[in-house]
Amino acid sequence: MLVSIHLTTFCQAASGWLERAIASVLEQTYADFELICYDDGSYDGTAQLLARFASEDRRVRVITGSPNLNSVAKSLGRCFLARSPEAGAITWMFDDNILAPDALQTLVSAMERTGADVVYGQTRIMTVDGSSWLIGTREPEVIGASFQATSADVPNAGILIRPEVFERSGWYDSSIILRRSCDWDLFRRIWSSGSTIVKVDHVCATEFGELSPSSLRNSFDTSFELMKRYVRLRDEIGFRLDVASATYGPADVVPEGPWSKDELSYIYHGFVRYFVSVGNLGKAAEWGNEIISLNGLDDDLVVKNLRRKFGDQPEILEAVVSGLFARRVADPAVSIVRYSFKREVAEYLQRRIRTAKSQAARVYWKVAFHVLRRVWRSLPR
Amino acid sequence: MCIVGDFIEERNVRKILDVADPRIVFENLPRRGPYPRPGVARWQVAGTNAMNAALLHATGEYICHIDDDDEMAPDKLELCLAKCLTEEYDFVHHAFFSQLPNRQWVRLGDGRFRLGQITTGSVFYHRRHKQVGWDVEAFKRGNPGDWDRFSRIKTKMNPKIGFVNRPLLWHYKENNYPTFVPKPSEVFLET
Repeated sequence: MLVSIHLTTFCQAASGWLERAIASVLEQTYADFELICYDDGSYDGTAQLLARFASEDRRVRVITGSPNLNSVAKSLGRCFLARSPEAGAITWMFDDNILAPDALQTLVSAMERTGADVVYGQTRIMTVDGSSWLIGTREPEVIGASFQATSADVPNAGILIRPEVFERSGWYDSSIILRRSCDWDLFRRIWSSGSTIVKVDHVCATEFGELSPSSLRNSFDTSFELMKRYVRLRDEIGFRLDVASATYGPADVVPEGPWSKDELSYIYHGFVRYFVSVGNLGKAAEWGNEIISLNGLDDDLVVKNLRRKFGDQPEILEAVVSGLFARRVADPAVSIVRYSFKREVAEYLQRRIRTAKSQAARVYWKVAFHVLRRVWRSLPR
Repeated sequence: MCIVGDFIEERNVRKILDVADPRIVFENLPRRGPYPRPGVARWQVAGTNAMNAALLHATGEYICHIDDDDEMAPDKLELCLAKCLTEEYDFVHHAFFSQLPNRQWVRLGDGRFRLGQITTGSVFYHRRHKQVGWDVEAFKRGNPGDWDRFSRIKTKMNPKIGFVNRPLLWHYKENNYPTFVPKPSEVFLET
């Protein structure tokens, strides 16, 4: 069975991590694979390094991306779409991962033996203090039951998946709201797609991302509560998650819903950070201006002066708005949880109002809704 | 792909020419309008002349449209063409995502052929319907230009109309254009 391995990388040639990652693939005891590397706009000699590997081993292919995508959903999606049609399974890894020499052998054997759609082993996560912990130790049914409570239970490296699984589950969502935890959302969908999932007790990979300041896990904040709400609203509206749409569709989308100002500010802040990170200052400024507008900062002294002085120099204005005002958001750590609870109750009451079978019942739920709202508004923020 | 600039700036012309794809045909109109003065009527029909010019350039068997601030799903052409060919439709429309003024997104296009459920970029039709053009006076009937044209196509051409129940377009909210500045020598339609 041909295994298609997808690796996305950004500027890890000079550190030596990329070379080490690719070497760990080429040293696999299972040789029937292709390695598709997505170079996400690197400028540190990555292109030359990848070209060397590709010229030395015909199993290595390189996709050069520019400008920088900074999205595993999009870069891995491009790898997936470029895979050989005869590939019977795919797996992922990042430039700060190394595979154990027998990782593929172990996973392929388990998949062929059991006929499973998904096989996963364990990944060792190295931490900054030199210790480590394992991900992927829990049984599939335990993981399946805990997606609402935790965001990290399934390894990205050290997992083998049949391509047809994604026809049922969809692909990584490229939404900036999910960012570094888009794997949680994908695995949640895979687990509920009716696929057969098998765990093997073998450490297949080691991940060093926590040690790298530029890794995705260290570059973006996220809120689990916010992600869960986003996913629920996204699924209600029916955003498309097939590979092509997720790979090429917009990433800065917010499904319609009862978001609070704090939550939207936090989300827009993520959008600004994302677009700054990929060098799109125009889009970053667009969302920075949304934050200004949302928070009523148009009359802010600094904003007014900035617009007056640099109104005719859009590039400067964009850069400053992007960098400066993106930070003017409420701390969501407290407010999001509180709003989440309030929203659940409010939505419940509104649903009862909408579905009331009699006028009396409708009035009853309306009164309950308005009383509760008055109480909430009277509470100190 | 037929791109017609509605008397657009030179820097935008350069951006289009820089794409340098042989499948692109480009023309920039020598003047803009006449369209109504700024307001709802102008919003309803601005761009009509460019759309009609694009129809003249079109040589394909099937035609579809996209606004300059929208995005097509990668499989739009594939799915719409398949729908037309396999089920012998000559006009299909499809679901799409639409951005609300508050920048949040909803899904529109529920299969009904009616105003609000169809937009410029959510149709795909046989070229014989070219003969029903965009009408700059649609605003006098209180219609946006796209709905006005599609409903006239339905009435005059009686096409077999199909629906693709899959969102194939990201339809962004209207941009907040800077203060309206008329083009040199621009003339206006009376509303």
